[in-house]
Amino acid sequence: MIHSDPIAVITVGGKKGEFATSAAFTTWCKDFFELQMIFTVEPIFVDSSGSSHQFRAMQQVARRIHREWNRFHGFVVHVPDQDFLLQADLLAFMLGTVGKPVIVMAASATAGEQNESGDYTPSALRASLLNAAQAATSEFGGVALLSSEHVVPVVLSVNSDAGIVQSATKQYIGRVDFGVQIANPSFPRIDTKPVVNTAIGEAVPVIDIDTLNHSSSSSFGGAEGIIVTSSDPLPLSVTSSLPQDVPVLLVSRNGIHAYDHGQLASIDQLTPCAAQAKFIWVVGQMKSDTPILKEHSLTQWMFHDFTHEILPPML
Amino acid sequence: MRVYVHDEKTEGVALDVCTKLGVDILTPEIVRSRDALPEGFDFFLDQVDALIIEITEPTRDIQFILAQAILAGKPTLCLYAKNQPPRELLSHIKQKTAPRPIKTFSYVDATLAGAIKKFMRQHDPDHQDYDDVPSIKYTLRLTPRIERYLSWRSTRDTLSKADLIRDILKKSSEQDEPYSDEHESEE
Repeated sequence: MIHSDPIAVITVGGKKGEFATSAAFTTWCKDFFELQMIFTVEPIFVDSSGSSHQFRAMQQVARRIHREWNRFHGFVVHVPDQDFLLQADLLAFMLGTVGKPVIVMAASATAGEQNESGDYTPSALRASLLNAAQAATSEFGGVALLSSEHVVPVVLSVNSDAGIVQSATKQYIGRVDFGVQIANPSFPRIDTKPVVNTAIGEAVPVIDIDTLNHSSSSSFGGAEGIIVTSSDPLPLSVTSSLPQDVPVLLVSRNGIHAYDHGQLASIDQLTPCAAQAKFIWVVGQMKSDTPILKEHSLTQWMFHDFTHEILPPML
Repeated sequence: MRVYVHDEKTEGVALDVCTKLGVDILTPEIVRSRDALPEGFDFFLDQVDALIIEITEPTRDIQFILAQAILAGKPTLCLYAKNQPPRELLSHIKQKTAPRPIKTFSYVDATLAGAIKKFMRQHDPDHQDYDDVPSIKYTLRLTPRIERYLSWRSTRDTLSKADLIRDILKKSSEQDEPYSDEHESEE
């Protein structure tokens, strides 16, 4: 290999992942001639098969990155397609402000070659992994998503109707274009180990508005928070059908709102996916032993900028 | 044909040769000066048909481009100065068994242009080298016997007499091994 700085390539595998076992992933990486040619790579396998919670694997990824922080120049995290943007956003909140590149990639965010059935080919995965590894050797810090040629800050990413991930603000860290062309100097590299908070809401059901309308308040017993989604605008009267003792995040066509202890607050400064990830993460932080988070309400914390995710109001 | 030319060592020789050949050229300067890939392209290598890269002192970006070129099977000419081979990179490139999309060439000033022309000729189906354009006027005296044969062949093959003579000489030159051995490096 030619780059002396090692890169960690973490895959979330198991039943839903591209690789079923650690051995399969390690062998694949070893046989990946072009990757071995230019990078010192350490394959790391995180098994999501036995997890009772859909975000358990990302907690493992965050802890592993924290533990191995000093060993690697950068990290590539390969996640399954399902909910990949939410998973990536959650990882960003768990890691907080990071000074090394953490590049998240998923097959559906890959603008590679597709076969006749519309699945991405093995060579597209390899090409994307090379792109991600090259981005991980770059001199910037932040949790970013590799989408097509763009390196997008994860918490600013939005998934378009066409399934393409874009930046909500057109703010890109850089692009992979005959190397990595860094476009934005506001993501400096700092080697300092990040403060990682992996506590998340363990019981935060995501339901659509119709389910909410046909549920009694006792249906949400044990929930630490509820995310209500709707493809239509939600009327203000919706608050009357919300449980009063559980924080709620409303994500609809007329924006994103947090509802907690009778207070409704608009939080349109976040992308929908980042808002959901932040909500799940803040719910977890409020029940953890992090004392500072207990001084304010959940709604207030939804406005706090933890990982440069607060944007100017979006048009 | 579009070719990516990455050359920071030969003082523009590679670029000059490609310019004279009339191919569309993409350079690192053009890439750095733009904000995004051209519309319709998701993957940077899709913009070009071939790559010419000077690898005597390979940078991180050059190594990455080569790895992607190998993976994509994109025709690539790697040039390095004679007696200054980038040994580690070359050993990796040569690990791939033939036919490889990557060709390497150790050059001196006198052989650089020829190597690029040869590579371009191999990979550009529309390429017409200056050497292949019938631009030299030539007056030739023939015997009546040869002229009768030339007229007969011209009618039979529906070729002009000039094209016929050029074809015969071209085939002869291609089959002439001593000539080819002597002139290979120039081409």
